[in-house]
Amino acid sequence: MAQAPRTISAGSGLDREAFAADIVGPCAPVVIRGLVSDWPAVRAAAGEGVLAYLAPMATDTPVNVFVGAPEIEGRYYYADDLTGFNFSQESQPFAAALQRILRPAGEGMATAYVGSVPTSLCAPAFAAENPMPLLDGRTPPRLWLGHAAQVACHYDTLDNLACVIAGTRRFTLYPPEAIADLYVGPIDLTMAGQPVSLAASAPPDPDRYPRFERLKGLALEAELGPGDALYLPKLWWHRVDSHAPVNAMANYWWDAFASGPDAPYMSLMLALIAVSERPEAERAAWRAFFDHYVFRPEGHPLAHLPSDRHGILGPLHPDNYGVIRSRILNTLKRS
Amino acid sequence: MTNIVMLNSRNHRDLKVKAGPSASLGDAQRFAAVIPGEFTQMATVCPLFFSKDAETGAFYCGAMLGFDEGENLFLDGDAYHGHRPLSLQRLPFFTAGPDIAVDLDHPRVGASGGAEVFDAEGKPTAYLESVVGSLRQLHAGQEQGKVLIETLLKHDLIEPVDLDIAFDDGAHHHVRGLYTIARDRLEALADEVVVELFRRGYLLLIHAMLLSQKQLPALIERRNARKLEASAGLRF
Repeated sequence: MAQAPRTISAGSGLDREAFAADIVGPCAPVVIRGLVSDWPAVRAAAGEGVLAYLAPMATDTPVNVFVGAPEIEGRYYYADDLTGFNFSQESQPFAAALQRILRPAGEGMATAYVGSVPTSLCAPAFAAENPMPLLDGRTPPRLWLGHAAQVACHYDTLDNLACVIAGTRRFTLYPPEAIADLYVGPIDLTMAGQPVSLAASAPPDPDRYPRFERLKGLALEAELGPGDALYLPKLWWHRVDSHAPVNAMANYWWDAFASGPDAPYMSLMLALIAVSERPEAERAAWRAFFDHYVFRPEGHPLAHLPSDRHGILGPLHPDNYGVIRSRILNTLKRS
Repeated sequence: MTNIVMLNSRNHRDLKVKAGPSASLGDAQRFAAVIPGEFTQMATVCPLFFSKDAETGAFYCGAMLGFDEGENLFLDGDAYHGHRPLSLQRLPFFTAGPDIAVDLDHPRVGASGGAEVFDAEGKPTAYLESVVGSLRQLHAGQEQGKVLIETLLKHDLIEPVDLDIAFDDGAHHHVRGLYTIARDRLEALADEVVVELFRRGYLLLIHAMLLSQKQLPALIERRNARKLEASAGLRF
């Protein structure tokens, strides 16, 4: 039995400041039981059903629906040769997609799943009726709806607060450092935009994925019911299994620690083209420099000088971020 | 604060005014009013728009000189690149009917290195003569601008334009409250209206205004370049 992430109960003085400091600050997953139990959506799901609740507010904005043949049993995944997928995708107005997804799929029938649905466009009334006091309100929630499904083990580059509305969801989590043992697939041919772990998404196959065996004991498992929430830091790998005939979840994505408009993943891509095919010894040299200036395991690179001598390595704001970014952009445009 | 009084040689014999461009003396404006006579000259270096006067709500023509409050990208220390709009040149003087008024609290007044307004005999100096010329030009131009705007409004040729600009330093600006020529409605004008606008010289002004929008990228680059100067010590 895998270990559970840290688990707390909603209430108990959990306000926005405490959430930012004690839950988000440590950058580790936390289950918050009953965080959204009072949501009208959650109460409706237990009563007349989530379809009855969402249908009146649904718009005709098109959404991308995953449709799986009965034999894949809701495991949306690559086709065997990794050139395509084992399911099809259809664009459909959200209101119509709801009707298809939130009625249970019968025996031997195709299953459907829709993820990352922006409520701002598809269900404009949702956010106000189901508020999230732990966040600043600038992040409109997204909806994840479907029949029983298995969403392949992937990561996101934003902080995530996932709130179950209907059904049960099991999150299987691996820390970011597990990346090398997860047998991660292509970063551009993806099912829903994010690369997935091949080893953690398919049935166990130690012959094919021997390094994955090292992660036994490292995985965390969280079982969420209606009203429960999971805070998941960015870059944490997660496989999501939803079990009920009809499942619904809302989530919020935000960057808790942004210094500006630039995503760290973009700098990774720039480093990839600039560094990744250099000789191993040179890469090791650059690794020392990246550590020194960027990852800073031993603190600030100019800690031995007074702060008024830190120049452009001083605090990023108010000026240094913009000055350095201007230089980078100008260099990229001219080279 | 302002302290605007009528100018006369009796009370202002010793008045000295620093006339040159300077950020600290009133030129640090991101948007400055321009008159039709300045359109073609300004349109080759910066975007021209209509804006609404904060007090009266009436449209006026202006040149976009920068983006942040107080950012005039044509001002470099005490040097001005290109034509300095008359609405900036004339400070601290204003027209008051046939007379000239001066804002005695304006930072140009009494600043060191200022020019004399009246000579020892109380006669206007060459500097004041040039100010009178500018004010006369400005006053006539403001009237022409009003008639131009009335004519454009009559033909429904003014429409709002929103600018969303991303700068190299990562800043985003959402500029609201600017207006420009409604191109679609311009193209749909009846022939006789086109001829009328042409004969009155307005077609040239309309096109200068439309073409000036092509200067927006250049203005953005001016700002990017300023930020870039600050990184001169960074080598890679």
